[in-house]
Amino acid sequence: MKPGLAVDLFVLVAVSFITIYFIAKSHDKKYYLRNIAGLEAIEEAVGRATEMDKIVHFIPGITGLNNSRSAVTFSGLEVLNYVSRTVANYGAKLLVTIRNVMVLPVAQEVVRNAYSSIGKINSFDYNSVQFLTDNQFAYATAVRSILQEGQVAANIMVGSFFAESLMITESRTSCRGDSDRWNYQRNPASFFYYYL
Amino acid sequence: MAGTWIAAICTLGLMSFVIKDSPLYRLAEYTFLAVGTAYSFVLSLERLNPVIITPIKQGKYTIFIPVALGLLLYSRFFRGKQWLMGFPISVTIGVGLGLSLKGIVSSEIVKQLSDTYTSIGSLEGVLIFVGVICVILFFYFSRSNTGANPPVLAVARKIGRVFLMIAFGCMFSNVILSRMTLLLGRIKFLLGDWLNII
Amino acid sequence: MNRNNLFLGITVIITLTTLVAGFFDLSIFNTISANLVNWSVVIGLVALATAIISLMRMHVKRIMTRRREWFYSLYFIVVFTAVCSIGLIYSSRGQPFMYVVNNILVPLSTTIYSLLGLWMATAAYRAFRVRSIDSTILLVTGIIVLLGSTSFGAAISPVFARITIFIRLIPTTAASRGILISGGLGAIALGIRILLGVERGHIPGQSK
Repeated sequence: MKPGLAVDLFVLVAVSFITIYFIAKSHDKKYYLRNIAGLEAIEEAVGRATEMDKIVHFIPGITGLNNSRSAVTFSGLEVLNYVSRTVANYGAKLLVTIRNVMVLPVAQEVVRNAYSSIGKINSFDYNSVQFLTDNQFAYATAVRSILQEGQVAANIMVGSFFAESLMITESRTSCRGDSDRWNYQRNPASFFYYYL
Repeated sequence: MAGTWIAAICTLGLMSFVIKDSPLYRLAEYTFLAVGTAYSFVLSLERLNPVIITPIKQGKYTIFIPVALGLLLYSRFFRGKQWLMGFPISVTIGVGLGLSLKGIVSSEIVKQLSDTYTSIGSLEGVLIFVGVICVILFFYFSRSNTGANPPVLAVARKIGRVFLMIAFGCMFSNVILSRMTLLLGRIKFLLGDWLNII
Repeated sequence: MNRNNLFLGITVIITLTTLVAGFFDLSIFNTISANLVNWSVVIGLVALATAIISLMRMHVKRIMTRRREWFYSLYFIVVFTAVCSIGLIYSSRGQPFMYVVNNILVPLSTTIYSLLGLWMATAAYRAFRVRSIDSTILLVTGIIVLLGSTSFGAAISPVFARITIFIRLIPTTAASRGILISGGLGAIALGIRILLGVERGHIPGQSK
């Protein structure tokens, strides 16, 4: 073993076994989960977008899948799965904008599978998942432009973000929509989670 | 001289957004998009040589495997063949998961826990330890705040919330200061390098 | 073996190989892991064209259907093509390309970065209202740290600087560590769920 990594390996194995245990137990027992305002807000936002006949915009983070932040991107893609199924159920329109090249095909498959899982594969459009640009702030500028066109009713951002997230969420006042933003990382803008 | 004027017009174009969304801002925005995307594209194309072409010239033909996997991503454009994308996606996700699990355990769990535990000897260390526990309990979702649950959990969550609010206020101020410094830098460029006023 | 299990199996084997290489000093695993990381970079490079094709299709469609402000899409394609041509002909280190980067990209990036300060101020104006205890704590802490970090605050009283040091040392450290630990545990749990096949949304042709 590499020196100094015994504790790390022990922690990883222990947390893994605990996770596997609770996943196995969850088949028999329904666990209580307290209300998470962000999750409830997603359904509400999609419903509002359907009523207004406008778009639900989603960003699964700005980092890629082959670095140490990939776990956060995966969490964003899992929420994209949920959002896609909700959007497909409601019959609303979805737009997913991507910054990283490798996330594009994965996000397209996630959305496609979500539509397929509820039997609405005919409603799926590959163009609903778009790559904008690789540059961090150019990406944020492009997203601001999309939000300010006035066709977006809900903007959901889940995944790895940095300073550009503030730019994007500040355009909320222009589009008069709603914005849910989750970012667990210790970065300067994360406090907005509580106020959006 | 021309370069300074171009930079100044681009700067003013983006800054004009503060007043009003105007055609100048839109031009600056689309210029930023186009040049930023082109910059990344050119750098990526230049990486093809050392990453793919040079190994092939050196006889390392195993590089054809990831090239073939990457080409499978284009199966998206062929009806009925989209499933082939599963190969490159699985490889990429496997690598990403492996790197992130190792990195997260080392940097975000073990290091943080050990630094918290080793600093307990002082009053500050005890306060930090209590704060860390309370913040972790704040993110414990499978018990409610009320009902037949230990009241210490509700109290710990309240303390965790206070710690989080203080931390966010501090982080916000730090970022405001650093961004204002950058803004002063741009204003200095416009008034100094461009208009020669200062 | 069906396709979904095959893709899941590939993911599991590659993840375990990378993890073993990370924790153990076994030359064969180190070599395979290094190659796999290189492969993921190559896959990303080869896949670049899919992203550019997607982007160009979006802009061309806007031009063809004469959507609102379609001329900006035309402008985008022209500038993108021009800068790419300059970069490919003269190389990214060539003087023409560096001229474009230094006089257009860098000023634009720096301007956007600096405007974040203004956006934070407007966000703070909306968010920092004394509506609840939480927002009061956030507002008061923000003001104290702002004053404690500048000479203006030092001119009013040295107490601000001392409280700022305390805030940075204890609550901020504790909250940061708590968030990182919680997020790290969640990320490991998500990784295990992907490896067990509980989360399969990313596998082509998979529907739950």
